[in-house]
Amino acid sequence: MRSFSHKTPALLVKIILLGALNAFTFWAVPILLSHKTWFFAAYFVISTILIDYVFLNSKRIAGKYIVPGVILLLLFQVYPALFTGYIAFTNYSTGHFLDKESAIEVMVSNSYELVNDDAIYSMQIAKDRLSGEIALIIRDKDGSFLAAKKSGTSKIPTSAITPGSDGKVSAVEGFKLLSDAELMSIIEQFNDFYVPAGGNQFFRVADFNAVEKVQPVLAYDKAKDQITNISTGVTYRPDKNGSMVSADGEEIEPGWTTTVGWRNFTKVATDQRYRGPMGLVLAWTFSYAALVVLSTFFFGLVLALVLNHPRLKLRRVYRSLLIVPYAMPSVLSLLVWAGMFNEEFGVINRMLHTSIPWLSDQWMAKVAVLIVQLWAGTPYMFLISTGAIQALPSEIVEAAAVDGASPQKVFWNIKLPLVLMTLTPLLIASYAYNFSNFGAIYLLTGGGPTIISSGGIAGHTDILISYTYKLAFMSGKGNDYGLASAVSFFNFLLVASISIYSFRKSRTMENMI
Amino acid sequence: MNKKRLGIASAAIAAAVAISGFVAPAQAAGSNLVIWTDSDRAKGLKEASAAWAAKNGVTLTVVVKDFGKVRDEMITAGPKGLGPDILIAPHDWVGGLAASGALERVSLTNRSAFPRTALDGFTYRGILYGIPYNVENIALVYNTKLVSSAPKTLAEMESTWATLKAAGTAKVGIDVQTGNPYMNTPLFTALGGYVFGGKANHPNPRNVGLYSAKFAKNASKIDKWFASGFLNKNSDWTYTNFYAGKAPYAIMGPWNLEDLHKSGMASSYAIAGVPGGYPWIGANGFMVSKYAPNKFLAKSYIANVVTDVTFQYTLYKSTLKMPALLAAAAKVDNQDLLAMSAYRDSSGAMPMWNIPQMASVWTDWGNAWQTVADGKSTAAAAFKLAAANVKKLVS
Repeated sequence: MRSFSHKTPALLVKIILLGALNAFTFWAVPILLSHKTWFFAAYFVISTILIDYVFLNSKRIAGKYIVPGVILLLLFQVYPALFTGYIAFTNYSTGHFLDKESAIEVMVSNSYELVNDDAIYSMQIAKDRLSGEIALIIRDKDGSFLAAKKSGTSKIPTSAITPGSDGKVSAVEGFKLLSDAELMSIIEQFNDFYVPAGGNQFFRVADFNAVEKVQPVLAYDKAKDQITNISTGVTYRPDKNGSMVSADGEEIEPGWTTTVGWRNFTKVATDQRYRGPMGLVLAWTFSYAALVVLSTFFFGLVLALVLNHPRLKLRRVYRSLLIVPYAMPSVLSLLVWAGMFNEEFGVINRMLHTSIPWLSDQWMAKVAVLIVQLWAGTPYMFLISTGAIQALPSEIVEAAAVDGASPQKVFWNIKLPLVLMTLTPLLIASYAYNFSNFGAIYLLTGGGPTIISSGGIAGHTDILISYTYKLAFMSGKGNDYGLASAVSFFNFLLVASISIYSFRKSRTMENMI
Repeated sequence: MNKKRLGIASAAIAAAVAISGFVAPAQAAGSNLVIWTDSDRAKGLKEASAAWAAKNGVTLTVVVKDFGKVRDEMITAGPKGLGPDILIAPHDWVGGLAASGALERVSLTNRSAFPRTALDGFTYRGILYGIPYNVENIALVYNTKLVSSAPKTLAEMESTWATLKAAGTAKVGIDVQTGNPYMNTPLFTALGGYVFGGKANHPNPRNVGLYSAKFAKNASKIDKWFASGFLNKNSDWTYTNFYAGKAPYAIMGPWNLEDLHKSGMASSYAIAGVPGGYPWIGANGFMVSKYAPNKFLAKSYIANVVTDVTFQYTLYKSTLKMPALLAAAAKVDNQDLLAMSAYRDSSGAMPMWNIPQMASVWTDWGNAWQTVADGKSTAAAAFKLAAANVKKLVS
């Protein structure tokens, strides 16, 4: 029997990792179940079983490579995309966040009102000596005492009461008054403590020493699925938008989340407020991403060629300096740029002695956005171009030189096509990235200046993603996730098409060689 | 080592870790009150509630949240049981939170202890959702070296500006952040504009006054103000011109007072109102989450602590904003705050509307100011458009 082999450390790692995974699932699933998220609980269990099976089985070698990746792909890519698609078909927005049951519970429970302005009674909390049930010893307005339990109230004969010094009761026959410490240990029981007080009225614990007599204004009839206002008699019925609405259109809040079919999509397609700017925003999104990629690639390539010249001194210093914008957190640098572009106080206008309306004129704002992205994006292009140039096989370049090709010819006919072949997928990826580069727009111009004819939401420098954000958080009653999801699903389709095109394109480039 | 042993080993580890996981979260419920707030209020809060917490054996957990995100978290985390017991927030959040079912109704027996406007601010659709602890509003601040007395009319302010401009002493008339509709409200209302019709806590969203008949007559004044420099086209929050003595007037809130003193103007300013206009009243207060794990304790805290004079006065000491509780406000001797409150009371100011539709109003209203400042549109056209947009959104 071998007790130790070269395989043992790897095996140990495997045991620990698999054990950790199983432990994580054991720990997470009960929590998920307690939150009623059945889907994720099932997903975790199935994934764990699958991984255990694949990794404890010596035959499933292909599975060892594919399964973990697919599980993560489904969880972090496919699920969010589908979920966004689902939200696009709902009214998930301010006022419609809850499910129907909770929404109705909130409507009814928030409608409990004091029966009259002084319906507040002093009270002490006690326990029934026999049953151990909590009882409220309430002093009625006429000075008599009531014992109120969850089941109902009963009169306490005056003879059973021993009055205390400060208007309170110091003892009650059959009951044990609770001390502050005893109360504190059971305090959560009073969160929604209602005692029926006859008719439609209830005693509700308001404080450690007071109860309120309350009655609901709204009542829900489950069989008819309608809410009635008890004092006015008006009935409210659910409408298609997840709200309880009366015949004359009065709505009770909150509403609930419900599916609304294609409404969000038709809104984007037909409402002038959304459709109007959409064309402009799309056009700018495409041209913005293209201009950024082209300009940064051009500068990055030129810099890479220049700094690649063997006779240049201090190349390393220049290269390190060029990386700085790339290394800076964009959140910081964008805000600094926004300050520098300020029309009156900004450094740029002050140095140039001009008053260019950098951020308030639509064309200058676009120029400003492009300048900042040129500054921020060039180092990346410089890095990848340098890499591509240095990876060029020197024999080819030397062979061309031996054949008598001029440096220009070497560049245009040999270096550039080879570099492009390597970099095309990266350029297309960069295009897709800039297509949805939210921060670059939102932190610098906020999408502004506003497109006046659009009615306020879209701005001249808004790209699709920042426009979506504004739709979600700045329109109507507050947050409209349904509408924003409809637009972002559209955005997702565009980015996905660009990516598919990218894959196709790079394959054809490879085939050309 | 074979497969079987490997399986047993991982199962054993799994079991061990899982058991430790079940044992750990044994928490003491009942005596822990979680309050969400922003950093501005956190400091004084613990101090002010210390006596109550000690007496009742309650641990007060004050969680400092990102002001921009807390509203959404309240709505999404609350129903999952991850929210707080109490939220401290400005009153204009009440509509959005209540409409989303995130707030618990609160009862207040002694309503006359608070100014009506502050309670109106926390009332949404007839239900009170919070107890205010401070009220604030903006006011006109003037440089006493440039202006001898508080202005009585807008015309007087314009002529003061014209004289100072001609003499070369001032660069701008009123230093106020360009395009910020909140800060410009006293000017807007002085010209006859308003947002919604209706009374304090019963706004009528169908009556949009962003381009009211009276405002329509006066709108061209805004064009003139920007053209003459009475209003600056490009001011930010820093009050550079006012602090440098280059502007006779500024519009400021209580949060600017500290900077104002540091600016070297400590002895050369006075506080008044914008003639004919009124500011918004903003109130901050305590709300109980509908999903509070300790709802009863939270309500008890609000009823016993927040309505206490000493509590509100202690918070005033740490935040320097006018206490909402009248008895605590009576103890305030800060002359600047008193002058700001006097403007509020004399101008008939209203609490900022708390209905969720205000979100879109701010966007459209701010855009209107900004486009006029940028010279892209006349005030008449810009505010007419804003009014039309708001009408469309709230209908």
